[in-house]
Amino acid sequence: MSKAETLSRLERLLERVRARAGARGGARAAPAPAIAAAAAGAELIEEPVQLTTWTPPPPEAAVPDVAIAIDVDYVEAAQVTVADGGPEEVPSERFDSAERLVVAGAIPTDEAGDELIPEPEPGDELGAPGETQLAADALGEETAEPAPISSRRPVMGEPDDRLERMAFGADEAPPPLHTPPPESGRVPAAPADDFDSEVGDARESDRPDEPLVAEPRRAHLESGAPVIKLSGTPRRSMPATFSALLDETLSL
Amino acid sequence: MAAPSFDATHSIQFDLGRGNVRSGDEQVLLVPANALASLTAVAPAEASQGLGRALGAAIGRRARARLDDVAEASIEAVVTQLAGEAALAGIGSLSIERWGQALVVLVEGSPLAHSLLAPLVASALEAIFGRAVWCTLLSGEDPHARLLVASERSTERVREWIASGVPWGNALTRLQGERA
Repeated sequence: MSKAETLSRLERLLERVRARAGARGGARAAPAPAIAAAAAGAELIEEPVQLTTWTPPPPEAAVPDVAIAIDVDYVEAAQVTVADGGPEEVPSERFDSAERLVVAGAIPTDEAGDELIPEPEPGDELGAPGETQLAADALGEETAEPAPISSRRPVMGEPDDRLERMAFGADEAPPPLHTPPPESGRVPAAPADDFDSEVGDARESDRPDEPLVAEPRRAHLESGAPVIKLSGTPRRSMPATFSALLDETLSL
Repeated sequence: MAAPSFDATHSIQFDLGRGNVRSGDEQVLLVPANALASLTAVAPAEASQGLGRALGAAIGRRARARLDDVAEASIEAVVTQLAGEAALAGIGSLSIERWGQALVVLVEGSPLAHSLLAPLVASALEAIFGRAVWCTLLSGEDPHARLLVASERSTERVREWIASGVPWGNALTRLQGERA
């Protein structure tokens, strides 16, 4: 989105805010009959402002109670005031909006109209972050309800000089949103001077002061047992002469 | 002690003018081996044994002439001279084996019939030592022939065992076992 478009959208937003502010001024002057009627009627509760732009029509029939767990991604605060600071017994059908309504404390009637400014809905044409910020600024700090702990939170807060940077550009690159991951590769070893071998070695502390001495274990072997057993007969020695050999073979 | 050697210098003398061949003091005859084999094949056993004994006696005599003291001659010396003279006669390569107490003479590559070798070896030893020696054939698988030198009784028993199918090794073992 270019800066010109942003500026044009901001201007249109400003015009709409002024137009609504003007409309509220007219409404503040006009409701005299209504207020008179309310004063005439006993305990009449001021009707909530119909938000024609986004409020769905009230259901014709009674809506059965259905136990449905609804995960609300955003919380809207539409303040509804009673003219006389009436009790809570106001029928819930009167708040015919499907939106989550928060009943604020009793405030003067003339101030209620100033507070009936609906929160922009997602999908609205004013849903841009910058526009939302402007609307929030226009409504004041009290309209912004702090988000619960378990709800979604913005990843990065809106910087104060966002508009300025959008209008005039940023001189410097924005800081990184998170710490960059560590670089891969070799990890340099710690310098040898930092190593203290006398500190933190439990084995050194467990070592006894006396030097280790071997404990020999020797078998006791008896030498009196007869180990050698002779079997067979020794081979005859070859006779020295052929005549003796002939004598032996002829003796067979 | 130097190993005995066989000196074959001028062992065979051919007198071409007279037309004779002499080995030592004896006149010899060069006969084709197959002619002699044909003769021994049809000759009676006694005649073949006589031929063998005659061949062995001549070899023994010439070997003894080469030995100084036969009674004190070593086994190696006797075997060397005996084998040398047998080679000159064309009998084959002669060596001895000792199986226990028994003496076995091994003849390899002989052109003679194996039936002639037993009387030949016995006669050669008798000629060298001047005593009666008996010999019998243990095995005759070509080209080897093993001959046992023993007493007359022992040679007859071994001959009977081998004829009955006893292997010659078992015959030698049995012979010496009976003696023990």
